[in-house]
Formats: sequence, structure tokens, C-alpha cells
Amino acid sequence: MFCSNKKEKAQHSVCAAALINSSRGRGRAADRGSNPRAGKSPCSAVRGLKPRLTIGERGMGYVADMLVFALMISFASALLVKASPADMRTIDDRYTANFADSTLLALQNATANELGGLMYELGFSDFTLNFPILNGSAGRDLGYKTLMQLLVEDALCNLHIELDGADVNLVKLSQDMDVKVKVLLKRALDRLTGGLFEYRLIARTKPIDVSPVAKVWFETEVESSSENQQRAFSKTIAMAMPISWQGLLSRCQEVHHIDFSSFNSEPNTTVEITLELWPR
Amino acid sequence: MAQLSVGEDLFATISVVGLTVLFSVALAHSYHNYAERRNTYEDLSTALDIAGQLKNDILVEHGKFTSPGFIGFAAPAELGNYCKMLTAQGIGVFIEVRDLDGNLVWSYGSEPNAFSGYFSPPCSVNLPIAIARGQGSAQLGELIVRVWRS
Repeated sequence: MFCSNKKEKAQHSVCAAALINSSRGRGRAADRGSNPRAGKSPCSAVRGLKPRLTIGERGMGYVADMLVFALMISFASALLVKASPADMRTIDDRYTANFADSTLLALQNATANELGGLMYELGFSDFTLNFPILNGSAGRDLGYKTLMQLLVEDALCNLHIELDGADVNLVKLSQDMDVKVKVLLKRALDRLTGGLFEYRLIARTKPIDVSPVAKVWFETEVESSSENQQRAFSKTIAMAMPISWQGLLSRCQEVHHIDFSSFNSEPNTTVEITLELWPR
Repeated sequence: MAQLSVGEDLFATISVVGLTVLFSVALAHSYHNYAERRNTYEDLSTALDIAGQLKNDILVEHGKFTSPGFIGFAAPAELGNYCKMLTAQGIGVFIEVRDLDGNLVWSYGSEPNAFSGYFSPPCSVNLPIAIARGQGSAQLGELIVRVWRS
């Protein structure tokens, strides 16, 4: 209510007071029938204006105001619920990425003997070189090596050779090592992830075309679950093999009598080790 | 009619007060959730930063072979200065190194008391590490970093 001068303001304050008094005494006055202006606003009587709202009607007005107020608060609450300094998935993702990084570093440094060791006998298929004359010298104890060193050595000892698109089953004396390294890595990864994450560890070398028909490569995989996840975090490291391609091929040449002299390979052979992690 | 009028007024008053209280509580609850999420995010982010720095720098075993993630068998002297620096910034930290069986290898700092935990609940992260055991041997373990606002 806007008043232009002091006189009007005073009149309105009188009207407001009269309204309250009128409402309080309205019931009694109406019962008595003594007040002919009962139920009418005194202001309207004074100034001849439209009748004002009673308290009951104004109460409904308050309720309407409150509903609008409540609507605004609901809107503010909804905004706060949705508002976030950042998506909480960001921190989960960051933790998973850190965990993958730390796991690879830990596997590079931890030695096999702290996880029960790694020993195997040189041999192939079900046949091991367990002759009495060898006096156990066919056995290899690699417990002093780190888990990643073992994986790289496994790659070196168990290379796949493909001739004309078909795998060639060569005599691999360290076939048993492949299985044992996988078991060791799975045990280590199971204990490291502690059921929080699913994982897949892949070690592979680039396929090398040693001749127009021959190809050499290595690939192995250790995983906790075979399902494919769209939201997986992967970290890849490259580790050098302890022997160059040239050295490796010259040894193959000696054993298998294949001529690799025309082959120009990269001097350093690397094994790419990728760890994929995703929350369970 | 007069009683009804009074009833309507009373109803209106109760409705107004009730709705005001209800929606104020809803707003306060929403703000509490928002603040909690923001604090959790910030604390986890801080804990990850601290754990990363500890794992890759402060705790790294300095010997013949040095590598990030390769932690010494005992807490290094530099850790004290680092923790003092964090305390000066109002960050409390408690560090534990455990093997994979859960046995404590070493710990540093004091655990948060109940009073500080009430205002800023500690959050912790754990990362895999390798713990030096001497003679070139290293075992797998985990670094647990608990962080709170002091």
C-alpha cells in the first residue's frame, strides 16, 4: 500500500487497526446485531472504498504465497541436488587410473620369491628333462626376478612362429614357464586388486615379418573376467627384452637352420604390457 | 461461521509454519549433501595427490636401484618434514604401509581424534606398492594414506 502524504498514511494505519479490532469482535457484534456495519471494513465505511479481505480470506492468500515460496525452495533444493563441484565419477576414474599405474609399478619391482617363487623344469609337452644324469640341473629357479622380468622372459622363451598363416609348434623347452608365470601374475593381481577391480593384463610384441611367409610374435593374457567393459582404464608400459632381435634371430638360425640374414629388424625388441582395470 | 473463520485462520497459520519448516529443512538437507559431496571430492583429490607424491618421491627407496613405487622397509627421515608441511597447511595425514596379508610394516603420524573427525571425516586411499626387503628382494604391499582437515 503506497501513501502519498502523511495524512493518508495516518488514515491507513487507523484503518488497519480498525480492521483487526473489527475482525476480533466480528463474531460477537454479528450475534448481537447491534453493529450495522458488522462484516464490513471500517475503511470502506470511512472512505467508501471496496471491502477488504477478511483474515480468513487473507489466510488462503498466505497459503498461496507459501506454495509459491515452497515452489521456489524446491527449485533451489533441486538445483543444489544436481549441482556438484565435479562429477564424482571423475574422482573414481582418477583413482582407477592411479591404481593401474601403481599396480604396474609394483609388478615391476616385486620379486617372485615373495609370492611363493617360480621354479620349473626345462622340457616340452609332458616330457621333462628329468634324467638322473642331469641331477636336477634342468630345473630353473627364477624367484629372484621381478614379475615383469619374468613376463618378458616368458615372451622371449615362448615366441609364436607363423608360417603361411599357420602356427608352427616348435619345441619349446620353457613351455612350463608360460603356465607358471600366468599363475603367479594372476595370484599377484588378485591380491592387489582385492576384489575392488576386474583386470586384464596383456603382454604382446609387435608381429615381425622375418620373411615373406614367416611371422614371429608373442602374446599372452591374464584376466579376472572375460567380459568386455566399455569403461576400462588401461595403462601400457614398454619393456626391453634382454636380447635384441638380431641376437634372437641368429640363435633361431642356429637351431632351426633358417636363413634370416636378409631380415632388417629393429635393434631393440620391446614387449608392450597393458593393464586394463575397471571397477567391479 | 465465526468458529469456522478462526479455524481457517489457524489452518492457514499451521500450513504456513509447517511448509516453511518443511521446505527449510529440505533446503538445509540439500545444502548439507552438496557440501558433503564437495568436501569428499576435495579430500579424495588431496589424498590421491599426497599418496602419489609419497609413492613416487618421498618414500622411494634410495639405494642402488631406485624406482617409483619401490618403498623402503622403514619410514624415511624426509617424511617428517613433508608431514610438517602438510600440517602447516591444515591437512592431517596418517600413513600406513601394509603387506598383502594386512600385516603392518610401518606407520607414520597419529590417527585423527574423534573431535576432528566430526567436522572433517577422514578419507583414505590405498595404492599398490613394492616394499624393499633387502638383498634385491621386494614384496607386494599397499600404501594407505588417510587425510583429514585439522
